[in-house]
Amino acid sequence: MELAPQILIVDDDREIRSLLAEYLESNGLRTLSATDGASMRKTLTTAQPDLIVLDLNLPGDDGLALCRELRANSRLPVIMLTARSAPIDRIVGLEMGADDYLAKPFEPRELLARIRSVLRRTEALPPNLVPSTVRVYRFAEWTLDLAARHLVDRAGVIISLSSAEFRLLKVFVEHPHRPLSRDQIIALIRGRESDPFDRSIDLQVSRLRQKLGDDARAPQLIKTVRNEGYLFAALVQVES
Amino acid sequence: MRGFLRSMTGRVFVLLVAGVMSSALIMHFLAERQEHALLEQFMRERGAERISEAVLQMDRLGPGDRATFADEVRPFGVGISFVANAATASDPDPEFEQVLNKRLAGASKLHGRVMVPYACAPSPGDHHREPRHHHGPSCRVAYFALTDGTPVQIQFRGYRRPPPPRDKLIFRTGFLGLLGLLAYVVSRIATRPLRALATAADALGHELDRPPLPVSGPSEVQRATIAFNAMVARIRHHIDERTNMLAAIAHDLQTPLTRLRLRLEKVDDAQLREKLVDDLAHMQTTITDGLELVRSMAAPETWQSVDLDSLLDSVCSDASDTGADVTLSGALGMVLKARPNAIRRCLTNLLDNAVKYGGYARVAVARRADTAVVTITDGGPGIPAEQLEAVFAPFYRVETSRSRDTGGTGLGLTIARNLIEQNGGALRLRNLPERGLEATIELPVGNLRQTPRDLS
Repeated sequence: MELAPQILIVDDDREIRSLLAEYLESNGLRTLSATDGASMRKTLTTAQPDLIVLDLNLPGDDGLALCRELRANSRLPVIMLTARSAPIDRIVGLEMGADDYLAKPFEPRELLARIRSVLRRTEALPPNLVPSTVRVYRFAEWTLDLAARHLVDRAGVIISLSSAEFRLLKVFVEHPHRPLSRDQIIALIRGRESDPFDRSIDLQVSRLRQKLGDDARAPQLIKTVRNEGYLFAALVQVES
Repeated sequence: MRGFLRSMTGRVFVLLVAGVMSSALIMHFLAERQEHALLEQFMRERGAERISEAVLQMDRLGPGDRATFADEVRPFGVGISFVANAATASDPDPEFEQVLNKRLAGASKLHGRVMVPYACAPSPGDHHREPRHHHGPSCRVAYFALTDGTPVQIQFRGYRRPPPPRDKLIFRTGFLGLLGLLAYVVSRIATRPLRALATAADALGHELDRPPLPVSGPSEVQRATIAFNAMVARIRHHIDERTNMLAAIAHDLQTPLTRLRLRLEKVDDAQLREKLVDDLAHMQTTITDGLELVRSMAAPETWQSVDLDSLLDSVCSDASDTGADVTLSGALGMVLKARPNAIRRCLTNLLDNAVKYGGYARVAVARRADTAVVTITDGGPGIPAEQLEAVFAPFYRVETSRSRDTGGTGLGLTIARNLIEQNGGALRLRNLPERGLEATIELPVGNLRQTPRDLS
């Protein structure tokens, strides 16, 4: 029988660590815990967890620094726990290469869902190897701003994207020149955030093409691959 | 006009005009008096000279030639008639008398006094009537007895004041006009720094985070500007402090709330757990909304070029992706200068409200004159008319049985209005005639430009 995935909880609050461990274990996961960066590093020398739940506010090295360090050395997926009182954190956290983030205080079920989704995603495709400090992607005449989650056209005008469009476009620019099946796209998108991805991929692609000014009959950016899915055909530049 | 006189500019203007006018009048009056005195003196000298010459000449002439002589000198302003002292209304002129006596040096006797008659007898060659003058007519009458005893009355007409130049009226009107114009320009210049200060204070009502006013202009205005800048800094500091305090509270509550939420998982009674989770969620919403509220006042983002159509489309898509009944109609086809996140947040709040209390949201956008108008209508019961404005006050909730259940914090509309005002726009609510509530967002499009993009 395959072992249940093991989650490393890094949080400086003892109560939260134990309560969270108890909750995750009661939902069939195995857990480890660490109080700070030093003990996290120590734990990682002896154990191989499948995912790290990392608190942003830690004494000593904070969550962001640890996340950057983890990304430099491994492909271990990270879910960042951030403070709701600082909205910029979630963006910075993602920039630093966290696979997902959740604001404290969170719904335990929500965390569970995200852990499962990130694990599923890492199985479907290896975690993205894009440098973790990416701020913007440039392609064709467009700039995709990850922090602000919008597109900027050549003239500097902001074109807003819905969450679904943003997530879809982010998947495309992170995996250019590579045919992606609808299932892969869904796996890459789903669970990143809590909103259900209700509309079909095809509908979202057509909406995205419209915003990008990409002609649906002869698309230049998001090409349709017969029987397979879609392919993002533009040259993507990464900027940090 | 009333408004102009109440304004600083108006007052400075009136003071300037009144001051310059009265000093001009005084100058004019003094010059007039001086001119009059000079004329009088001149007349006295010349009059005495002419009269004495005429008397001496008539002394030498025989009685037969005197009438001819009288006719000869008449054109020179010397009227001679051989009558005795006639009583006409007149005043004495002792100064003239003195000069005349000195000149005659006893040759003929001045009989009586030199008088200033109230009216001068017309003399030939008079083309126009003696102008009425408050200094009296400029002629003198003297009575003599010649050496042979013949009585003589001599009237001397002085030199008339030159008639006022014809262009005097034009000159005076021109002077007044010029004075008015200058006074206006000067008063505008003098009050400009004050007006700039007032405009800045106005703008502050909408946006606290602006650069301090440049300290310039007259020293009083400079002082006011410095005081004003200091006040803005203090207010900003105060608001920042409040924001930081709330952020700190929210931050410190995070750990106990997270613990509490995790502990609630251990409550076995499902019904009780659900209620406790609801309570906790409500507490969290209050904290985050409160934080959002102070942020909506304190930390504005930068202005950017925004495609409003795509912004509306995104917000509506996000809402309908979560299953809400939201539709968007119309398009602006324009790019506007705005703070995109503030508008997005405001729209999200209004859509949430519409869906929560009105079942659905119909969003429409149109351009009306120089305003982009976004309306959000729902199918709910609306808000009692007398509370339409009150709902924008923080923590105000329309008291219905429903609102208690829905558990809003009463901050959503306050935040929404703050954010729109930060964009220089306005947010209003009104009940639709049939049913439902309509929220109207107006955004100025003064800095709109035609978008080259076609999003159809």
